[in-house]
Parts: sequence; C-alpha cells; structure tokens
Amino acid sequence: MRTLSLCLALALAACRGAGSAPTSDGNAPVASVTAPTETAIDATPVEPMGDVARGKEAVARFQCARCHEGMDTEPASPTRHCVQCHVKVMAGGFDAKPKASDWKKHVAHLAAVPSLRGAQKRFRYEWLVRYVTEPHDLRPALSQNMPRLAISRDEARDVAAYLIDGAAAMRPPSEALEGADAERGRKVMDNLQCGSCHRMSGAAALTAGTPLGPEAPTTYQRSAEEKRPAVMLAPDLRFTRERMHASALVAWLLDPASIKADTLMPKPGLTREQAKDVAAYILRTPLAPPAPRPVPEALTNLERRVSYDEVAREVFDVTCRHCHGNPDDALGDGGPGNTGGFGFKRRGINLTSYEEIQGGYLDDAGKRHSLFEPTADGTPRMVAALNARHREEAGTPTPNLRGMPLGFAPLSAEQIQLVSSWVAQGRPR
Amino acid sequence: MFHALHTTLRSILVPAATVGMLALASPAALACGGGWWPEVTIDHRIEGVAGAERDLAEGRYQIAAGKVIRMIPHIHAYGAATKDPLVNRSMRVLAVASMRSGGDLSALDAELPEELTTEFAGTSESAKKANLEWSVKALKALRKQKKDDATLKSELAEAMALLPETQRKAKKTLERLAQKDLLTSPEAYRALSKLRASAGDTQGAATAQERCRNMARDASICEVGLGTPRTPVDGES
Repeated sequence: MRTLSLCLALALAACRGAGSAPTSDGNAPVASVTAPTETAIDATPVEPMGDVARGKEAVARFQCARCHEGMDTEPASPTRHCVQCHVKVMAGGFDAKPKASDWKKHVAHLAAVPSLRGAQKRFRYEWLVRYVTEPHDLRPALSQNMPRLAISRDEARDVAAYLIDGAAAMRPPSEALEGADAERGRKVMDNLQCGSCHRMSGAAALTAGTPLGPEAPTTYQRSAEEKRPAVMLAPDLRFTRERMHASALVAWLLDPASIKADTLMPKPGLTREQAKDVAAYILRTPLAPPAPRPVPEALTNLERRVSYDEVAREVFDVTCRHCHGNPDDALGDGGPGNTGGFGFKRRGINLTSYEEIQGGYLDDAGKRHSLFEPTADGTPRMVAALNARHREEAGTPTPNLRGMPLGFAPLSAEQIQLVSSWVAQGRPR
Repeated sequence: MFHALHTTLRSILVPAATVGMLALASPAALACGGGWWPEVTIDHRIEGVAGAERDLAEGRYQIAAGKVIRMIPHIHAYGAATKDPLVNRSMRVLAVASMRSGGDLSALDAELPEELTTEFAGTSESAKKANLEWSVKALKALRKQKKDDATLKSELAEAMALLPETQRKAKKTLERLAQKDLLTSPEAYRALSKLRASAGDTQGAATAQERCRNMARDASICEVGLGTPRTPVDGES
C-alpha cells in the first residue's frame, strides 16, 4: 500500500513537473501552447540521409572551417580564419600594424564560435539539416548567428551526414529516460546554477550565480575572462529537444568533455539518475511559445540631407565592409559578398567607396545590376535586404532575398532610415 | 717582388676579411656602418595611393595627381595594367584626376621637378589632349583587366566623352549605364548631360544634370563647362 502511495505520489509529481508551463520570468504557471516534446519530435519523418563524401566536399566549399573548429577537414589559414583573426585583433595581436587602432574600434564580434567536435555524438541529423538550411538565433548571449548560406536541402543533408559521420538517424532507446523525474531535474539544475550560462526561454528562469564575476558563489569557480566565452556559447536550452536525442543528452550531462574535448561546459558531477532527471526536465518541460520578435516599423525618410560620408560612418564602415570589402586591401580577398566565399559566388559588391557602391552587383550571368533597383514593392534592393534581416529574425524570411547583415544582428530602425533617406535623396556624395 | 706579393695578398685578403667581418658581425654592428638593410620593408606607396584616392574622391585633382607622379614618375610609360594593384590604382587616380581637370594639370604641386611637371602639366591644347588620350588609354587598359568593374566603365566613358572621336561611343555607354542606374559618379552624369545637350536632347540633359546635382557634394561642378579646371577646394593648390 505504501509502495502504491509512493508510486501515485511520484506519478502526480511527474505530472506536476510536466504540467502547465510557467512564464519565462518564473511567475505562476499558465496554460501553454507547448513546444513539441521529445517524443513528438521523434515521431516526425526521418530526413533522407545525405552522402558523407559529398558532405566533406561541401564543408570545404562552404568554408565552414573559416569559423568552426573540430571537423576533419583542412583548417583555414590564419589569414582566412575569421574567428582567429578577430580574437587576435581584440587581444592586441596586431597592435604593431598601422591600422590596428581602427580595426579594434570595429571588431567586437566573432570572438567565439561553437566548435563542431563530437557532432556525431551530440546532434540529431534532422535538426542539423534544418539548422544549416534555416539558421536561427540559438545562443541568446551571442549577437552573431550562423549565416544563411546559399545551400540547398540536398547539400544540407550531405553536410549533416558528414558531421554525424553517416550514423543512421538514431532513434533513442525508449528507456533512455525511464524513471526520470523532471521536477527533480529542475531542482538539480537550480542547485548547480545552470542559469549562470544557460537560458531556457519558455520555462521558469533558471537559477544563476553571477556569471561574470570571479567572486561569484557559483559551483564553478572561473575568472570572468574564462566565463565570458562560455556564456556566449551556451545555447538556449529550449532548443535541446530538437537538437539532441535523450541518450546523447544524458551522456553529455555526465561528462561533456568526453564527447567534445574543447567544450567550455564544465562537468556537472551528476549521477546517472540525476543526469536523466535533468534531461527529462530539459526535453519534456512544456514551454511557453517564444516571445515574437517584431519587425520594426519603417521610419519616415529624413528631410535633412544625408551624405554618403554619414552613411559610411554609421553603417557601411561599421558592419558591411568586411564582407563587402576592397580586394586590394586584403590580398585580393574582398570578402564573401564581393570576391566570394562561404559558398557564395562572386557578386562584386564593394561597399568601401562611393563609386563602388554605385557600381552595383553581379548576377548569376555576370551582369551588373544596381543595388538600388526597386524590388516588387518599390523598395530599393539595398534597403529591402536590410529589412529582410529583421524578418528572418522574426521567423518570416523573405523569399529570394537574403537579409543583411549576414549572420549579424539586424540594423536598427534608425540606421535603416539613414540608408533609406540617402537613397531617396539620390545618394548624395 | 715583395710589392707584387703584397698586392696579390691584399687583393685576396681584404675581400675575404670583409666577407668574414660581415659574416661575423651582429645586426647592430651591421647597422652601424658595415652595411645595412632593413629587416622589414615598408611600402610607403600603400598610404600614398590611399591618400591620393581620398584626394580624388574629394575633388582635389591636382593634389591627387601630384601624389601619384611623385610616387611613380614613370607612370606614363605604363601601356597596360600591371600585376601590382598599387600601380593600377595609381594609374586610375592620375587618369581620372587628369580627365576631370580637362587634361590641365598646370597647378601641380610646385615641389615636383620641372621635367615632370613639363611632362604632365598640359599647358598647351595639344598637351591637354595628350593627357586626355593617356587617361582614356590607361582606363581602357585597366578595364581590360577588370572587365566587370562598373566604376572603371563609368570613368572610361566619362573620359571618352571629352575626345571628339570617341564621344559617340561614350554617349552610348553612358546612356546604357544610366538606364541601369550604374553611373558611378555625379561627374559621369555631368558628362552625359553635356552629350545629351549636344545631341539636342534638352530634357534629357536637364534630367542628367539634376542627377549630378543630387549626387554631387558641390552642385556647382554640374554647371562647369568641359575642359575648364574647377575652382580649387580647400587645400588644393
């Protein structure tokens, strides 16, 4: 009888743990439209498996190694490795160069990019295919995203197949979380202060220490410098149920470094039971729908004269010129948006001078078109691309128009207003 | 005999000793007079060319031209684009600066040696024409190397518009680029405006002139006639 009562109590506790979702600020639970649970995701059709050999070739063609470590491919040279170069600039490694002080002013991003080591032991194949094709914001503390590449579904399957080393799409053993208790798992996470690095949007806020202070009373004593990349790279746990099978998550929680040697996630020191409980919480907790990202209203064009000098200072030179650069400044490499790279064809878009901007872009046939030609609704193409980035972040990408800046946070409404005003005024020098 | 021996020995030993000294000497000692060569070569043309391009962009044509000529005095000898991007960029700067001055570079920096200013100045009508012809030749050569460069295409058409024998072709190119909104400067619209006016297209000339005025930092450049050096801006000699 006592055993039966205990079972009932546990069952009820499990139900409570899997019941209504709290608001993401930790207030009283409300009824929720939940994100799909792990079992619902498992029921989705399996993506056809790609080809590993083609995937390796695609990884080289899309130049994944210019940002990501941890693949069995030719590493990018130091002059082509985006992250290494940025880290070196920020750390003062180029201070002897005449332009170093200029570079440091503008180089504040790409200091941390996730390594792909151990991908085959971590990720779901289907998620990799979807993410490579339609990347989204995965890491709340990292302002850059995976760029939206010119990659087909078939190519994405090949890349994913390569990354998981061709392992058949895994179906987790149903016993992976047998007996796990999500509510217990939540308590474990709170004790460990997982919220020091991770967010879990749609769930009650995770308990955090003070992630950036060396004196913080967290379980993991690290300096602020050590913690910062960890915080930047810590994914939103909301997406774990799509990214990882239960068995992979349990293994990860038990010993992250055994799966991904260069991980910044510390070993939580969990028992197997605790790891299952935490996995149950992460994978099964109902989640409130994500807060919608509004597309900002376009601001009216400015009446005052907007010069190229101002737009260059506030927009082009801040964000755009690194991918749309002058080849003569960088050993013939004008960036992916000019001379090509990351799988993009040569588009000839140089945003470093007034004349070059007027010179437009190259289409697939090598013909030049104006960057200001009107799109279907009359918006100049350049302005439309800036607006499209906001729509990508809102989950409604614009067909046939890649949002800019690629992989970076959208420009502010004021910045877009400046560009739009400049174009409307006839692009005064 | 002793003298002959001494001379022979000296002719062998002195060079040997010199080589030996160089081999043994530290870099510091080398720097102090035994011989010196820099460990790092700084190419001052990089900043020089960038500066000349800035002067060109801001309408300081004489200064831009002067900088290029000081760095590469033999630049007129280049008949084709080179493998050196700095030389190519310098060619473009001089070609455009000269072209937008109507071939008249008589206000070149007084620091240039006379033989150089004589070569480049364009004080006579024939000398101005020679400068314009060189501008067209240089821009054609650069365009041959960069066939899809819209800036070079626009500037070449602008230069060709200044020579009677190439005006027809220039107008065709300028019209095509204007139709696609690919004219890269207000000066190119000015050139188109003049050609349209010459062809009797008053409305078209006014439209192109209006585009020039919208784009130009100083709208007065859209009114200046062909071949007349523009009023120098601050800092221009």
